[in-house]
Amino acid sequence: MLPAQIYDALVDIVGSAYLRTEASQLVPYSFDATPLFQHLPDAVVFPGSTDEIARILRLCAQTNTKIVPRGNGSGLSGGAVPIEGGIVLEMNRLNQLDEIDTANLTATFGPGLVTSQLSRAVEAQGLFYPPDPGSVVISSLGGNVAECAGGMRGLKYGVTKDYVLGLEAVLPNGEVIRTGGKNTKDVAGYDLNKLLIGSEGTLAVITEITVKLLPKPAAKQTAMALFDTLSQAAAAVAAIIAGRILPATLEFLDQPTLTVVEAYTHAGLPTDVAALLLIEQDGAAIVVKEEMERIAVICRQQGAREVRLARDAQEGEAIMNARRATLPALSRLRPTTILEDATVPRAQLATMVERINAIAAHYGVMISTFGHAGDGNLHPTALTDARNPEEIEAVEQAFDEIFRTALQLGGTITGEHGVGLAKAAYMEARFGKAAIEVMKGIKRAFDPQGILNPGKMFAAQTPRRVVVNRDS
Amino acid sequence: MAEAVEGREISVTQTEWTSVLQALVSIVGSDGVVTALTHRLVYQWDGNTVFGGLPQAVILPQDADQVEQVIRLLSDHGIPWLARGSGTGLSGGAVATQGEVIVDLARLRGPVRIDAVGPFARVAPGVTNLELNRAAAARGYFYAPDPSSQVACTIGGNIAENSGGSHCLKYGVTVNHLLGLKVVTASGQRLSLGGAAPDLPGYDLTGFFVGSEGTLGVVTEATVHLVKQPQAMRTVLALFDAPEQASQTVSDVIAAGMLPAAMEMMDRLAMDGVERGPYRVGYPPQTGAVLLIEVDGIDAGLQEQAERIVAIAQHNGVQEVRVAQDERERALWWQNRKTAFGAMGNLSPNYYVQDGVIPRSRLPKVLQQIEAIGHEFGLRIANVFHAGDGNLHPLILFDDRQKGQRERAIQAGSAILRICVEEGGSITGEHGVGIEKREEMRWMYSDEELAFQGELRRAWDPQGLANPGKVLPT
Repeated sequence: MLPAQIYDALVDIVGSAYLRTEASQLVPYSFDATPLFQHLPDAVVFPGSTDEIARILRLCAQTNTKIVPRGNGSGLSGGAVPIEGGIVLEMNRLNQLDEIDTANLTATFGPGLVTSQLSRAVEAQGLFYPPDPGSVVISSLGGNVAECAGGMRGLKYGVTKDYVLGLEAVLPNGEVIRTGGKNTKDVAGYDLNKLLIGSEGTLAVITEITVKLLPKPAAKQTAMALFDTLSQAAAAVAAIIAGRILPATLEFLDQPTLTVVEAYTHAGLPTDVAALLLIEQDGAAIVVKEEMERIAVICRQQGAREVRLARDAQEGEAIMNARRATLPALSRLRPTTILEDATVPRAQLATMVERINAIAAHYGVMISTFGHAGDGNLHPTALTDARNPEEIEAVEQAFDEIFRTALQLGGTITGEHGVGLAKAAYMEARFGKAAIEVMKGIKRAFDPQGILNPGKMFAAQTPRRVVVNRDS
Repeated sequence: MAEAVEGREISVTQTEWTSVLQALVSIVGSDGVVTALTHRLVYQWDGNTVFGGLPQAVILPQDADQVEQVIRLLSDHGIPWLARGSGTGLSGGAVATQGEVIVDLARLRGPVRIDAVGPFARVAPGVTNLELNRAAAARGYFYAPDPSSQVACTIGGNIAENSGGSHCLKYGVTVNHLLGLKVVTASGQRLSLGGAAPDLPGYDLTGFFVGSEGTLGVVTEATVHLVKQPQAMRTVLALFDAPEQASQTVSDVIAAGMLPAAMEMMDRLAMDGVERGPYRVGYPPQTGAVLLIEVDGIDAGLQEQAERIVAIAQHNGVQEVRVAQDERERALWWQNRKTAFGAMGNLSPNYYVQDGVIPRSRLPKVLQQIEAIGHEFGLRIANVFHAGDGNLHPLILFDDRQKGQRERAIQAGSAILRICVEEGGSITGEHGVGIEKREEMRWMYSDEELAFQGELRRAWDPQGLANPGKVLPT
């Protein structure tokens, strides 16, 4: 509970219709899509403008109240979970699409706009916003910026940070700043865009975003390559990239994953293969045709049993939607689904998947692996039951070993889902003390009182996964 | 001849300074400590040539350990310093305006190590951009950011300025190709940021460091992303009556869904300069503007793309279109464009270049405004620019022997930047703020925003010794 005058002040700023304080209303905002991290906030507020957000943050600074910005709560690293209570700042009313500038190829919008809404709007004008996280129909663009979201097109087109040109944000003291603008080249002063992108809601609250767009590719072709062994599939990935081809999408699914996804989506995915590569290329029609032919040749050279081209755009879209539905599909198997995120250099892909399978067997846990093969970004996903503490303990140990394996292979502990709460303890292992100190110095400059999304990114020790945390 | 600014004396006693010099000699060796005046004079200017300053000493470390020891020593004595690559920068960023000690990275060199699987390259900061490109080319790759000074400019300098170049329209700028950095921060800490695998956790310190103009620390190694060399290229030269038609062609090409690798424009005066140099292309006298357009990719798709571009140029009344017949002709056209700045020496004893950015759609309007500024200040202005991303390089010609012309050139440059900001652009697209545009930063940021940037800088440089007097206004 917060002091009464804070609730009064919030009503003053946003109106009583946009404040929630009843416990039953708070529960939906106590967790995000990360299993096993949960904590009730003391209030949820739905601001309607940058000005309201500035006033709310000033209030928090004056009263030393914790505050956690939230998009649509689809994040996978606990970034939106209010683990120290306080106020959840729900951003989804700021969902306006302000402008699509077709002459300068930019779009400007509020952080609450959903990614797929932006994509559809720009594609209707012959333009293209490439970053496409799997949660594209749910996740907010503000969340995408906070996590520097990637997606299936990351290998060819890059990730969110490659597209953000300008931001408006509110600092924890209520000051409004602008960073960048509409220019694709701009080196005036320090690049605060880069600091804010991927800052996971710990530096400032993003209130407006300007991104650059590309012309929409003229053609697109989707294909599946079927393999009898993991290492053949991984070798094909390496061979495609070495062959100087950059497909728009190059995704990997193992057999257990395929079985589950096909049962849910009935998209026509094969289930009798050890590994499947999903490949998509876009661009000028003549280029797409030639490159897909070369990809097919390469896959067969690496031992692919078969390469199937989608007959038309609809079939291609169905296959891609099946891939996007992987997490929901897996989540049907057991009560608790824990999707993790580890990246290794592409050359280590097969080794990493084999080690994940060995680790899972060793600890007796169920882990399915899929991911963005082109980037070496894997999602080992544990299917388990949070009500079974021994099993959860085994899952924790398995993931611990998986992360350390990734680091040993020259990789990193997160490709795109962020550090949040879940991986804070690994930060020092990856970066070393000196870099963490610089980051903490930056955090202190933005948020000297430590009120904005506290407890995320930097942790004193490994957080334990518990079912529910609430202050008494 | 620009006036050399003597620079403030460093506030240490002579005795202390002598012992610092001795300590520096024991770190880098006696041939790594330069104090003779005639040698220090070489370091007075960088590519900007307007702002000059004399360093108290120039130190040449040979490796990262020596860089760390040098910075720690200078920090312990409160001595301001700045890092310098080849000194080709255009905003005075490598000039010792406060008598700083210059840490010259020329000796941090060595073979470029290429990992073809990545693909990426590990490179020392003293290696030139062209050397990196040549090493990459030998393996079928290239390093995309290609500032026109690439024959001389260093990778360390490119990182400090977040350099662009002609091909950044399609391929992006330095920060888009940087995977990892090893740095020594201004407080002497060794940091290893990023790495070979794509790395996103934590704050993007790499992204923040790039373009920080030597105010946060020194790069001792960079890991950069390489791009496969395209299978083929087509290079087109389109000659127009006037810049308006050329600008419209640029907009129409992009509106047609094409993003060429490069789209460069030169106006009549710029052409006059380059045509008097050694890389003569042969522009007819009635050509008012030339567009150099390059598309690259799979050979099968390029013919169609080139044809579509030619059709668009014709729709906009192009006088003549030439398609490069071979690599020799393509190279000549690029030499012609890339030597434009130096070629101003064929037209005028002095020139001053600015670096404004505007939204591409404003190009015709701003070019007219630049012409008006030329008249207002009584100076000729040649225009060379990256038309695709709206990054202008007005070359303001003047004669330093004529009283007042230098000052008017600087004022004209500032007036042009004012227009860029008013049109929603920026005061600098790739040359950096340096010393030159510190006051103009106030056109882009409020006092609070500037103060906040200062706080972030202090998180890396608490003592304020790393390239002080650059980037932020006083």
